[in-house]
Amino acid sequence: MMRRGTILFIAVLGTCFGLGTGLRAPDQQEAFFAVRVYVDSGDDALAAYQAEVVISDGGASLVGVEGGNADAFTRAPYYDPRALHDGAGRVVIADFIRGSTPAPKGDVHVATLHFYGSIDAPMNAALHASGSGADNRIRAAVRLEPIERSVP
Amino acid sequence: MIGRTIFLLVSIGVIGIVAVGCENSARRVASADSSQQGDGISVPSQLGNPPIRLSYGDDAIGNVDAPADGSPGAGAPSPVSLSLAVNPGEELWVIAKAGRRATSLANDDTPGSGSLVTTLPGETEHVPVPLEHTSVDGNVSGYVASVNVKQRFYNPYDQKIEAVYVFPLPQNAAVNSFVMTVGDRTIRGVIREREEAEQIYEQARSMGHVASLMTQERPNVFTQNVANIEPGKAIEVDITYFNTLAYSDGWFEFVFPMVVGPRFNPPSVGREGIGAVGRSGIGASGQGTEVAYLKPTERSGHDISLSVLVDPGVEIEEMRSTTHTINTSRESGTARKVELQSKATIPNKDFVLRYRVASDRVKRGIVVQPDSDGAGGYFTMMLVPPRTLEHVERAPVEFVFVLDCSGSMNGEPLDIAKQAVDKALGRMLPIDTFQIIRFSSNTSALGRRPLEATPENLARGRRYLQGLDSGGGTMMIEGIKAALDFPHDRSRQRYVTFLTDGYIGNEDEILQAVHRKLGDARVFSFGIGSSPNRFLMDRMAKAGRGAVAYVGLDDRADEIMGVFFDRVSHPALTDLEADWGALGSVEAYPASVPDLFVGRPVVITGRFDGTLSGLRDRPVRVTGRLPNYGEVALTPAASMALSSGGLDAVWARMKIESIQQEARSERWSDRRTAKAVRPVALEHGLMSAYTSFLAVDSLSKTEGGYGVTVTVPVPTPEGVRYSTSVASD
Repeated sequence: MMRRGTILFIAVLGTCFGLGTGLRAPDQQEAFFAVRVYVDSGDDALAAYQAEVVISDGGASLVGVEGGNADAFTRAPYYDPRALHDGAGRVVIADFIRGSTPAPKGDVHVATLHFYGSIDAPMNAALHASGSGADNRIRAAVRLEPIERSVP
Repeated sequence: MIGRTIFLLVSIGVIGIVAVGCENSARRVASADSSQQGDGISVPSQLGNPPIRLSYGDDAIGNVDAPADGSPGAGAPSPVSLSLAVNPGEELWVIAKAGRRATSLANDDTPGSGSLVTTLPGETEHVPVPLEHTSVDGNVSGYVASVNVKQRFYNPYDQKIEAVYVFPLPQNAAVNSFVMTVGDRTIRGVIREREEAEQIYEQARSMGHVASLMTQERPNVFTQNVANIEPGKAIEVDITYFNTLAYSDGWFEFVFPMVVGPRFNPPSVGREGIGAVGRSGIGASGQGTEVAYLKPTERSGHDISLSVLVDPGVEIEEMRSTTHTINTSRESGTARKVELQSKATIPNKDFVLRYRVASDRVKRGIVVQPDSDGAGGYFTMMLVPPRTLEHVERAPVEFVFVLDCSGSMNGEPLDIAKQAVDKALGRMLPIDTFQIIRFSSNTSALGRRPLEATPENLARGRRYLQGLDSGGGTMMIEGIKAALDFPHDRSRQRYVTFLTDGYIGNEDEILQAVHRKLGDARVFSFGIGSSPNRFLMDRMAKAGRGAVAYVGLDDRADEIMGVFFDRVSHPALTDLEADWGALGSVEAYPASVPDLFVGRPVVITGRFDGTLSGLRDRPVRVTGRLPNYGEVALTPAASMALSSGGLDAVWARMKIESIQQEARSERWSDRRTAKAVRPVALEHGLMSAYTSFLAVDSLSKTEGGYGVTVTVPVPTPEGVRYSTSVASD
C-alpha cells in the first residue's frame, strides 16, 4: 500500500495530456512519428525524473528513446522493458543528471520518443516523480508535444 | 551540489530508483570508500554512479553483518545511500545504464566510386567497407564482466547504403542495451519481438529513416543492419552485454571474439545455417545468414581497439594474453587496465586474457544483487570441487578421441589437435582403453573397437594420428555417432573428447545428438584455433556433462591436454544438490548442474526471494556424490560481495539458455520454444533468438530509396585457410 504522501504526490504532479487532435494520418496509415516529453519543474532545479506515457489501444509501438534538448538531459533516457511489454501500452522512462551539468529549471524538454503506428493513437502522460537531488522531491508536471510524422 | 542520492520514485504500478549524482562526487566517494576498506570487490553500478564497493572480507558469511532488512552493505559501508523505503507489494525497477554496440556486413557489389584506394603490385588489396572501427571497453569486477562495444559505420560511397554485418559475441553474453548515434543525437534502441522489429525496420528503411536492427542468429552470432547511411555520413551503434568469466585450473578467462569462423552447413541444415562465401559470392550459400570473407590478399579498413579494466577485488598474481600483445597498467587498488598494444588491430582472432589471483576469495564468494526492497534478488556463485577430490584416484577409462579433419582444420589447427591427442596417449594408464576417430565428409577410426593402452597399441595409435590429413566438409554428426553409438564397455567410464574448430551451421542437430546418445558417457570438447565456435564447444560439454577447453594457435596443446588429464585423473562429483538456506526459494541456472571435476568450478546464477541477513545462521550448502565414496559436502561460500547491476541480465540469459537446452533435448517446436523464451527476454530487455533491438530516427528522413545493401566482409580467422574453408566465388 502506498503511503498517503505518495498518493498526494502523484495526484498533484501527475498531469495528463491527450494527443488526439489534428494528427490523424491519411487513411489510417501507420507512420513514424515522435513526441517530445517536457517536465516543468517551475522554479526548482530538475535533476531527475521518472515519467510514464500510456498509448491507448496499442495504437503505436515505441521504436526509439532519445534525450531532450536541455543540456542536462541530452543523452538517451532509460526505459523499463517490463513496463513496455506488460500489454498496457506503457512507456516508462527515467533519467538523472550526471557530471557537473547544472540542473535546469522551468519547462524542460527531457526526452523525445519515437513511435511507429497510428499517429492518432491517444496518449497520456503521468509523472511518477521528480527531484532536485539529495532526496529533495519537487513538484513538477509532465506534458507531451507531438512534433513529426512520416507516412509512406 | 547534487548529492549522491538515490531517489525513490513512486507511481501507480512502478517504483523507480533514480540515482542523482554527479561524476565528481562519484569519484570522491569511490576514493573515500577504497581508503576505508581492505579486500573488496568493486562492481560497477548500472546507474552510472561509482562502483559500489563491498567487502568480500576475511569473514565467512556467517560473520558478515548484514543489515536486518537484508539491504546491501553486508560487512562494509556502501558509498551510495540507498533509500529503500519501499512499501509491500510495490514494484521496483532500477534504471540500467546505457549500452553500446553494433555491426554490419558488406558485399562486393560496392556502390559508387567513393573509395580512395590504391593498390600496387604485390601489395594487399584494400577493400572499402562501411564498418570503420570497433572499440571494446570492458569492465570486470570479480568474475562478472560488463562490456560496451561501439561500432562506427561510415559510408565511403557516393550513394546511400544499408550496411549489414555478421559478428560474434561471447556465447553467454546477456545483451541488454543498444544505442544508435546519428550525428550528435543518441537514440536508445528498444527490445521488440523479432518479427515485429524486422517488419518495422523494413518499413523505416523503405521510408528513408535512419534505423538499425540487431538480431541474434546463434547465441554467439549476431547480425547488425544499419539503414539509410548517406554518403559521407557516419552512424555509431553501441551495445552493452554482461557475462560471467570462465574459470578453470586457477585462471580466470576474459574472451572477446572478433570474427565468425567459416561454417560448413550439411544438407540437413536447410536455410538455417550460416553461409561462408567470398566477397563476390554473396547469396551463393543459400543460407539465411551469410558471412563474406576477404581473400588472403585483401584487407579492409576495419580495425578494432580493446580495453579492459579488471578488478577481481584481490591482488592479481599473473596476467597474460596468448593471443594478442597487450599493455597493462596498475589502476587504483587491485585493478589493472589492459589494452591492446595496437589501437588498430585486425579483428581476425579471439582476444583471450587470462589472470590468476592471489587468493581463493573471489571464487569462493557469493556475489549478490539484492532487489531494491531488500527482499530477494539475484546471486552468482562458484561451486568449487573439494580438495579431497584430488586425493582420490580414478577408475579405468575408455578414451575416445574424435578429430575434426575437415577443410577448415587444414594446417596448424589439425597439427595442434594431433599434438594434444599425442600427449593424451602418453598419459594413459594400462587399465585404460582408447579409440581415435576422424571425421570430415565421412568417418573412419583407428580400429573397430577401443584398444587397450599397451605400448604397442599406443604406438599404433600415434602412427594413425600422424597419417591423418584434412579436407572436405564437416559432418560432425557422423563423428558423434561413431563416438557414442558403439557398445559401451561397462567396466570403464567413457570419456569422449572432440577436437574441432566447431565451424558448422547445424549446432542444434549436433547438440540434440549428444543429448540422445550420451548415456553414461561424458563429452569433453576442445576448441581448436584462433576463433573456435565457442557456443558449440561450450554447449557440447554441458550437454555431455563434461568440460570445455580451448587451444589457441599460440597455446601449448600438450600443456592444455595435460591439464585435462589432471582433471579426469580423479573422479567427478555428481548429483549436486543445494540447500539455499536463507536465500529461500531459488530459481538457479544451469538447472541441471554438471559434474564437478577437479580444478573446474561451475558457476551458478540464481534468483532468490529470501534475505541476506539470515545467511549467518542459514548459509548455502551444496552436496554431491562421489562414486563409491558417498556424499560429499562442498565448502559453503566463504564471503559475500554486492553487485549493483548485471546479475539480473546474466540470470535471465542463463534461463533462456536453459529453456533452449530443454527445447533441444525434448524436440520442442520452434513456436513452443519462442513462447517460452520471449517473455523472459522481453521482461529483462534482453537480446535472444526471438527478440531484437530496434532503433529508428523518426525525425530525419533521407531522400530517395534505401540504396544498396553492403555486406561487411571479414578476414578469415588466423590459421584458417580461405581456400579450404570458404565457398569459391
